[in-house]
Amino acid sequence: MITQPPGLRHHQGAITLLMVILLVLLASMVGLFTARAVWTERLASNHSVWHAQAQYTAEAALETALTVLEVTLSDPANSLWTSHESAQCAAGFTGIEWQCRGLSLDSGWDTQGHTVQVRVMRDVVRAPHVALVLAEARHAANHAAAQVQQSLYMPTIAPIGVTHKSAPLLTQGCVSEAVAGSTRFCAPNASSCGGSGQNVGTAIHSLFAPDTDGNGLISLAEQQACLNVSAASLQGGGWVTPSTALPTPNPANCDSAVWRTVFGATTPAQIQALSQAQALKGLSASTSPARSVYWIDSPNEWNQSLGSSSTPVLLVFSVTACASQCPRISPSTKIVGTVFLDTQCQDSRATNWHSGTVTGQVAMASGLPNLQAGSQLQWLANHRQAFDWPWPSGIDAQRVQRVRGSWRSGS
Amino acid sequence: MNTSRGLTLIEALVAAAVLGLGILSATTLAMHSLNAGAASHQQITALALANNAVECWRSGPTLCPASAALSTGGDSQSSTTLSGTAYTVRSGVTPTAYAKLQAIQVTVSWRPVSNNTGSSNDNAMAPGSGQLVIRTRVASVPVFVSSTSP
Repeated sequence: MITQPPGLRHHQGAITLLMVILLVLLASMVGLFTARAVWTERLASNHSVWHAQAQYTAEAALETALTVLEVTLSDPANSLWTSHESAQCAAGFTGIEWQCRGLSLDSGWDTQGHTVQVRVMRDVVRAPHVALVLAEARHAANHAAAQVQQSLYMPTIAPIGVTHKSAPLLTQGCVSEAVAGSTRFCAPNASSCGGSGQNVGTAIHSLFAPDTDGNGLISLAEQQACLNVSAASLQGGGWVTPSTALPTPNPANCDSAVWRTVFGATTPAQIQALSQAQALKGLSASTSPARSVYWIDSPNEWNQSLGSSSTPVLLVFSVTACASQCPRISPSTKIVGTVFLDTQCQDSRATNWHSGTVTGQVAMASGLPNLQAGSQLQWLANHRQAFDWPWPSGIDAQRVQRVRGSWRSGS
Repeated sequence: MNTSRGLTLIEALVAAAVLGLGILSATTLAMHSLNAGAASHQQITALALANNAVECWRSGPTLCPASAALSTGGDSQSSTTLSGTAYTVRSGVTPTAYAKLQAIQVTVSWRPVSNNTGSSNDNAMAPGSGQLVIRTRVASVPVFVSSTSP
């Protein structure tokens, strides 16, 4: 039998009490930690639900925004892109080329306590027909937020198509020069413009020549009568007109075949709106990226050189600018890109015009009589780059469509 | 000697009382933890059922026959029992101000484990109600499918 020391025997109860208290404390700590773990799990499940709620609300906002955009953009006179709200540009979209707008959704929508924000952004230089729609839902009390985004094709412009003509001058009527041999029309394969190199291809392409003898055909004599440009000026390049007679363009109701050839289904209003959007964003020849589209209503002579072979520009001298006569481009001015004169099928509006030096293509909805000495037009293959935006083949550009694979989500 | 025995008895009684209180507290805590854990499980299960219902509706009647009623603007209701809890899933489609935009609401309800395990500021689930509501919208704006993209 083991005998305890007398002192220890007196403290048996106290030792038992201490042991029990220690065990209870230990058990309590284990219980508290377990409860804490369960509570954390509870919070996590709550947050899962709140996040799902925010995600569904953001998705609902995005879907509503797509519908609002579809309805808005179906009206050609819509004002969606006539302004810019810099506060609506998301991080990473603050460059000068990004145009941003906030979108108001219908008020009768139960967002379940979420604050909803929808922003629409587009690049007015590289892809003005593609909008990035960004929807965000936020619940302050639940500390829950979700963000979804989708890109859209918009009918703000149209694909150019394959109707373009490879010639530095595209007209809808006859061409002549003020002084024989004083101008230059350099065909696509010209090895030098103004020199004596070999020139192959078409220097001037006219979509209309008058059928003076009324036989329904455009004879060689009629072609030569319509083209009053010296061989020196043509630089060996060809001259093309339709072989059969076409109705004389009617100034009272000008059907600009040249516009359609150059711009496809894109309307003048769309080009004008894009020019205004680029101006609104402060784009110019000296910004990066540089402004690429210029809609000109002023009748004053144009004397600003624009464009380069890597970044060609588009200049459209509007009906307003050409109201009496289209503004000349000053002799010392160099334009790289496309120049369009909206002459409304009236040769008189292009009479005595001066092109300066245009590398690319000059097109007009009339003939070009009496082109002034020193005008030089040289072909550039990528002159349409300023308005030839990347459309997928086969798309119906008249309607709003989602860009496949562009949906993203994030918190 | 007699005094020492009396002290030991008192100490043993106090120890028993402390142990009893400790066991009671631990049991209560354990019950609350179990309830909270079960409530979390129910909530996550309800969310999964709601997600399924929304995806079913989005995928259309061809891929998800259950959404046939919804595609015609009707309501759909189904019940399922998972881990001993019966869940009722109700889906409904309502028109919006836009003809090409539909709103869907999915409500999942169940009998909660305990009425006091819900969070007070939980807007997705009323406290202690065992109900989860999901609302979203879907537009019929098409996706352009092409081999090339900008």
